[in-house]
Amino acid sequence: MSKWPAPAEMRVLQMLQDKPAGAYGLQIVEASEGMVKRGSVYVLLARLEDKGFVRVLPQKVTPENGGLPRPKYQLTADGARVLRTADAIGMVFA
Amino acid sequence: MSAKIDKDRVYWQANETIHPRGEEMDILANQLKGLDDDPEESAALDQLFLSDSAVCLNTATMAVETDTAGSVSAVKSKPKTDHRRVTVKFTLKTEPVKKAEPPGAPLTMLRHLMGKRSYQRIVKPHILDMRHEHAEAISVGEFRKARLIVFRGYVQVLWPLFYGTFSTLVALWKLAK
Repeated sequence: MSKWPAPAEMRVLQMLQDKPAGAYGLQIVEASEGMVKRGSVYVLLARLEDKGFVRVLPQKVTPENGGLPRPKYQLTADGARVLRTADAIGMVFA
Repeated sequence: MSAKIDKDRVYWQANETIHPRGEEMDILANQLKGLDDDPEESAALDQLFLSDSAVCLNTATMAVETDTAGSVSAVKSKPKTDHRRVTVKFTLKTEPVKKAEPPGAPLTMLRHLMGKRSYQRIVKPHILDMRHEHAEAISVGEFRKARLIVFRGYVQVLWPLFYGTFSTLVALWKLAK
């Protein structure tokens, strides 16, 4: 399997680039404006996690999250490097 | 089970069972409040209730005073003579309570069908999102939206599973053909 992210995975990385503190899966779906679907976002995030471009932030059960610690995803340094490279060579993932 | 409340009074043990409901329960409660004035009686009643509740959850026994006719409603008047002690047994009938489960609880069974890692990374976040959205909708009183969220969550999780299984079976069938 190629480690270079697929176009759909690149879109997820781009969404995460705008959220340095991390984002929930649903926040990525909303920010993508329909480009990333609800049913596929966690599959894409799991693949990106396997490739080392995304990490899952540990979440604690707090009253703020309603006792439901949803996973929060953050871009890794490798993920940021991939985005910079894609930007340098002019790749478009619209 | 019984407890002596006052040794000086003449008590008569009646083996009759009364099922107090509604107002009768209030009368019994008022009578017990009256008995609280006497520390010995209070201690005896406390012991009675504590022992009953410890022995059986659904059945409690307590001692009350009644008139000669055995009417529980007469305990308010507290007749001066011919006191009898009647052991009143009542059963607290409770309706069967439906076990409350969070939305998407049946979906957690999928962890037995797939790998633990896949379940943790793909299915569980869907369930948590569904519960989060469901709780948000319930908190603002949008119950219809909450039901739709649960339905959508089930479709999101189960549809790829069914589709994947079906397409695999079709591929196998084509290979066999």
